[in-house]
Amino acid sequence: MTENNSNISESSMNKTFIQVQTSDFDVGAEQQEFSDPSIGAVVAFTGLVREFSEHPEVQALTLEHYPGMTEKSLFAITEQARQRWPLQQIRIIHRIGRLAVGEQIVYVGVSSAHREAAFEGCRFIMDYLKTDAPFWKQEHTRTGDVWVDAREKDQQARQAWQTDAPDTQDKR
Amino acid sequence: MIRILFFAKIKSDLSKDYFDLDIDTPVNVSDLRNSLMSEFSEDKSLFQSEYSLCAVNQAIVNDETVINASDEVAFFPPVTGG
Repeated sequence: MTENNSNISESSMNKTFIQVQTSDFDVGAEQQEFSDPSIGAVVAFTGLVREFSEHPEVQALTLEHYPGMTEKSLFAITEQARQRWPLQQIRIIHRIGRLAVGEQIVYVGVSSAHREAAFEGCRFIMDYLKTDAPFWKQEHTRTGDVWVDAREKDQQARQAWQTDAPDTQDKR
Repeated sequence: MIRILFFAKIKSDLSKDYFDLDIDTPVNVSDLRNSLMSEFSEDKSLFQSEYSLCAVNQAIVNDETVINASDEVAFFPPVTGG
């Protein structure tokens, strides 16, 4: 399985860190990376592999991705977020390969001087990751492997940001 | 000729990581879809616009986008990460 790390630095304060990996990650260790004294808020999202309501017999899934495009699209999403909010460090970790129910799958940590930008930026990045980053889930069942279908709800969450005019974003 | 990369269900249904399509360039994505549908007629639904996304040089594009010989082209289903 491909491991692909990219450290994309603009400055030490406004650093974007993107990592696609098979191994697990430590949310506590990630939090420690947000150490710049100008940071006033860190919002971090951790996604887990939950029990599968559509296929209860599923015990694990495998995540496939498009090496190269994955990192490029995640970086493009962080740049779009930076255009909308004054964000400082952004850290994204997405796992690939086989994962069991309960395992951590994705981490998005965003820091800013103030909480509004950090909350909104983190949510924006997750909503765009869901529809724009080339990852695919395949569920493993006793009767065979099933590719997960994309959800209309995820498209709607992304579209909500596009109809949200920048001058009203603070009132969301 | 264009090398087309496949991912996820398209890759597993066709049992192919990629396919070298014999087609003149430049060509737009819509024409490429039609060629792939006739090439893989038993799995043509995989290449319909509603089912698959096309990426050119690692960015998702629409059906009017023109592809040149040196471009990296990929087809894959709507994404389901996160």
